[in-house]
Amino acid sequence: MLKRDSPSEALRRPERLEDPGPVQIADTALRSEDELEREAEERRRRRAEALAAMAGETSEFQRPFAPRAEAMILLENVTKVYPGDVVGLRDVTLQIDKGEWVFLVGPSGSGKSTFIKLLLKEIDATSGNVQVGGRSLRTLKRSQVPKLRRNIGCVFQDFKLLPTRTVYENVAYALEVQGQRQEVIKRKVPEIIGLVGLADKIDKLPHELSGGQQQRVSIARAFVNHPPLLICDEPTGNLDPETSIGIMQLLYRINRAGTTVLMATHDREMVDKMRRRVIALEEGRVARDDRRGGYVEEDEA
Amino acid sequence: METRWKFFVLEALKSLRGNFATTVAAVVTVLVVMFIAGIGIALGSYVYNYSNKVRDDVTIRAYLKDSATDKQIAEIQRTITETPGVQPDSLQFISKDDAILRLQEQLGKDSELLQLTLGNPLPASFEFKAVDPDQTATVAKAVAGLPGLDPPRAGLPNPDYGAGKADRVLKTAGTITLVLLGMGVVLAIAAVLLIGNTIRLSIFARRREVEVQKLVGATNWFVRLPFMIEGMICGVAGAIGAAVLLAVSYQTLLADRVESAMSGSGSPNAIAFPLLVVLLILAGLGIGALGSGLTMRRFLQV
Ligand SMILES: Nc1ncnc2c1ncn2[C@@H]1O[C@H](COP(=O)(O)OP(=O)(O)O)[C@@H](O)[C@H]1O
Ligand SMILES: [Mg+2]
Repeated sequence: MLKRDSPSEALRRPERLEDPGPVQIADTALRSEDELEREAEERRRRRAEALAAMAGETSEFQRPFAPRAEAMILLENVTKVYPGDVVGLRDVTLQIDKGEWVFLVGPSGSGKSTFIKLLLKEIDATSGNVQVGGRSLRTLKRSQVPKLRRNIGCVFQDFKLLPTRTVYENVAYALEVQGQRQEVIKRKVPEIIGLVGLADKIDKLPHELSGGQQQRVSIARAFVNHPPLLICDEPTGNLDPETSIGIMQLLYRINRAGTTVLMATHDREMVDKMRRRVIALEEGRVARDDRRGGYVEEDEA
Repeated sequence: METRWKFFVLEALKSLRGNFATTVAAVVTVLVVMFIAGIGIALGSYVYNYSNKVRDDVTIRAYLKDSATDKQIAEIQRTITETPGVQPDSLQFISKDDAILRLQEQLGKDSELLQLTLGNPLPASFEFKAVDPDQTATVAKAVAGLPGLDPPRAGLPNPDYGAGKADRVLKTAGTITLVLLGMGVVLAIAAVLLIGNTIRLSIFARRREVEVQKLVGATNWFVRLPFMIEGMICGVAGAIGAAVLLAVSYQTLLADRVESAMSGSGSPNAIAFPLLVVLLILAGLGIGALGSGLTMRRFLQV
């Protein structure tokens, strides 16, 4: 199905994180490999359905290259110019496949956040074509934007939790906003909070938690719907290296279960250890796109 | 669905409590607008009914000279009865004493003093009606100029059937209504702006929440509804306050006078109070919705 990262391959391959550090994914949340695979299969099926729902429309755009596999994200000659002639992205063309894990690196102001905002249709491209889940965002109606965002989980450096709501309420909020029934919320929320290892913190307020724990809450919120795509803008930017590893492991497991993960990051050590696809931006251009890259170009390092 | 409405209303109330001072300012402005609008509507409806009544009241009054002889009076009575188009049983002779008694009934006790000092200034008169109200003028003309009748004076025709009176009343009322309307519009604009300001502060206070809502895929109306409700609560609160104030000021300032002046049956009525309250609340909802709607267009791009 997927060319580079077939799920069985992903499950067999030993994790590349050599030193998980003292912060572990909660043991209670770990399942047997069999169970994990069954769950993954089930999620894949649900994601396929969600994607089918999103892919109501095909692009009439002439593709300059043949797609390698099913695309999760497709950018064709995308340029974003902000008011005042500030260039955010400059003629970017790339494809990210379903199930892939991609690091987006580059110095501050190189266009990483612009890239992410385009995918969420927070902003529109000045020119070029952006597709998410097979759907062109240029022709996506305003009224369809909430549906797009429900299929994309988002994790940010500053967590974006509501300070007056408990862990449970913060996660439940994502479902309430979508009009889910209370009984569904009552079932799903504790389950996902357990999965990120915060079962004992479920009634705490965000300020009663450590940074790493808060980020786990935000991951739980992003993933409670099992979206096919997870976007992270410097998720470990505010965390110490040890805590970061725990967060990365959590995201890694989410990816291994089939979710596409796109992560903008400055975390050099993490990028170098994980050896995944690295897209490096410089002044809005794609400066490098390595299948198993490091944070900087190999001969430089 | 029920729990969702509770969710929205609670959100709105929470955020109203959050910026109490601006909320109070907005509500008070709406209250003043609604108070003035209430007076305007009550007065307008009263005057409208009054002028209609005057128009329908086709009684013709032929005033007699104090010096008119019995023979002259009998002659006048005969002419009236024989004039075609006069309602035969509508003819009534009002003596000077009858006239002053009527006035006393209308004005209450104060008028006794008036009579003591001035004597009885009111003339005796014949009152009668045309069968067809449209024929009033023709019928009145037949009586005009008979000996023993008071000669017409400037602005006071004799016989008098209230010609033009309804129009004069309406004209005055029109001017008053226009002034009140102008004030109302200016104040309504102020109210819309102040509610808008309250909503702007709410949007600012809850920008984090709104950001998260957009992030997790809230629909446009889901984000906006709490602010909409917030504006409408301001509007309705102002309207209810105005209704209470109207009721209280009517009771303390006007009730006695109005009741004594209008004790006679068939006196014109103003708009019913419950209907007035409903109108004010609807207007309050409108002002609130407009204030928050306009503000959200500017400050809440979803
Ligand atoms: N809303 C905006 N208005 C104008 N310029 C912007 C805006 N957002 C970002 N930029 C500019 O676009 C460029 C890319 O920014 P950004 O995508 O935030 O980079 P990064 O996330 O990699 O730090 C920068 O030069 C930045 O100043
Ligand atoms: Mg950034």
